[in-house]
Amino acid sequence: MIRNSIPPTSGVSLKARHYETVLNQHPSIGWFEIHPENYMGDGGPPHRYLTAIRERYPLSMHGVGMSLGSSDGIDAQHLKALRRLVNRYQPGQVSEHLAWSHFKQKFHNDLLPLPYSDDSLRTIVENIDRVQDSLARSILVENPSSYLEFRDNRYSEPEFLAELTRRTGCGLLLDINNIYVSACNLGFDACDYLARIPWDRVGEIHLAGHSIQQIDETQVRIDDHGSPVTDEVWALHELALKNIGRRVPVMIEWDTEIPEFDVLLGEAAKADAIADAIHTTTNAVAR
Amino acid sequence: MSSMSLHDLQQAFSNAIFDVDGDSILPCVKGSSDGGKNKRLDIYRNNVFYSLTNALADLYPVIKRLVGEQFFNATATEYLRQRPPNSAAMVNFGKDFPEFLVEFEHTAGLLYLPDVAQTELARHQAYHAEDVPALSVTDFSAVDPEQLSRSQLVLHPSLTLLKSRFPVLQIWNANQGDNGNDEIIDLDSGGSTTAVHRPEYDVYCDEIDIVTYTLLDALRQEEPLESAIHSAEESDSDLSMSEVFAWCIQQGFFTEIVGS
Repeated sequence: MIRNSIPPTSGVSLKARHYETVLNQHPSIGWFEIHPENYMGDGGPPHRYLTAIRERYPLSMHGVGMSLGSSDGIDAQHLKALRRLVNRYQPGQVSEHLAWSHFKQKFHNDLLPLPYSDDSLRTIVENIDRVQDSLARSILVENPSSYLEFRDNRYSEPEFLAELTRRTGCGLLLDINNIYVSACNLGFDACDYLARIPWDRVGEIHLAGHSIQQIDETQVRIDDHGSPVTDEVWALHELALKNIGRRVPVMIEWDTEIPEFDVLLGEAAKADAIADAIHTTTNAVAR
Repeated sequence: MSSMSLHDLQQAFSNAIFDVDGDSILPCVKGSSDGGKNKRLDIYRNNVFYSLTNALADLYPVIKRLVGEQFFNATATEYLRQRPPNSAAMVNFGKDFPEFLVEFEHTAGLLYLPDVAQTELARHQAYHAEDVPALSVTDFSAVDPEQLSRSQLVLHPSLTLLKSRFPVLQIWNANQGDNGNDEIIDLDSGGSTTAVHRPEYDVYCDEIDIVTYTLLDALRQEEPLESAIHSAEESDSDLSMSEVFAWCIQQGFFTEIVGS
């Protein structure tokens, strides 16, 4: 199995509106991440740009449509399309979500929540095995942002993730913003969540902005990736990095209200500065 | 409430998203009131419909402009309910929207609308089509004319031929960029035949005459060149066949000469 190999620095989402900027200015950024679902056509400008950018930068593929949690299994067509892309672009890393979006020929285009039950665990372990076998590499699985939870949960989310990595050998993509959003929406303690994460399995971190919606008397945080990372999320990120104790790839996601490329670079620089500060301190202590 | 299998839970959740049955998922969800649980489910419902409606609007901007945002969004909601997407690959999304516009009671009277939608779909498909090098005049002159006339010509994968009894291209052009939408178009001013294709980076919509259309349509149906030219000549004998053919080569419509 191919191990993941993205530089342990900051990367950003690659967006169509930034293609020209990236190719013309060759910005100093560690790597780019794409949603493979946007590159499943046979040809055209998206592939030309991605090919040119791939020649200069490491690439990570972050899927949103594999539906690892589907009780009716992995969509063979979709897996084939992903395998084709992986073979073509040789990404350093492939990741997906702890969620489902596909059920009985219907694709819901959202990361829908799973109950953390034994039934779910069996299903998702089987599906991850199938994807990893097909791609001949291990993948990373990301914790979702949640707006509700199920009565039937037998595991907490971090326990469920830990069990998944143990059974399938997959790694974890820790989305700090999702932890914060879910903690606020479902009322759990984000630090307590972090304390249960198997740190040696974390292969990447995601950071993004979210928005706040008022629903009756309740504030709901919506994971819309359309604004800068909030202070609370930066603080939680710092805590996570201290726990991990090594440099990991950190990615700034921005999917709606996409700003100029410089804004993404600014967020990435902030993430690098935090990693530098922690790393320097850790080294000093070790000495 | 007894525990539901993951399969049944996903069925119930999916039904709640597409409004087939909003209630059977509720006993599985944590919370004190059904109203509160439904508001949480609404976040997922909104995510699904908002993201897919936006994707549909990106694919069919002229349709949206023609019918207005409110009407478009309502039409999209009904379309997504009746024909939910079955693939996560965005390139496959929205293919049957033109058909839906034919059937949907609130758009069925707008007869030109599906044809405009077909043009937008053809543009989307041309944009994502496989990149295949086109044959040049030199490639054609290298082939024995006798043999060429017995051969089939493979059309470029980005090429779509469209025929409508409405002035579709005029409607499409009037709804681009800053055009004020104040142009009056007579729907009975004549039909249109269009070739949508992408030679390099940009997608083109070219108005073509009936001879060119007939020639390309016959070739698309794998007729040998000789018989395709014959059909084309019958459609209008006044146009020069050699000019038509030269123009098609120049546009990069042909990618392969097959057999004889």
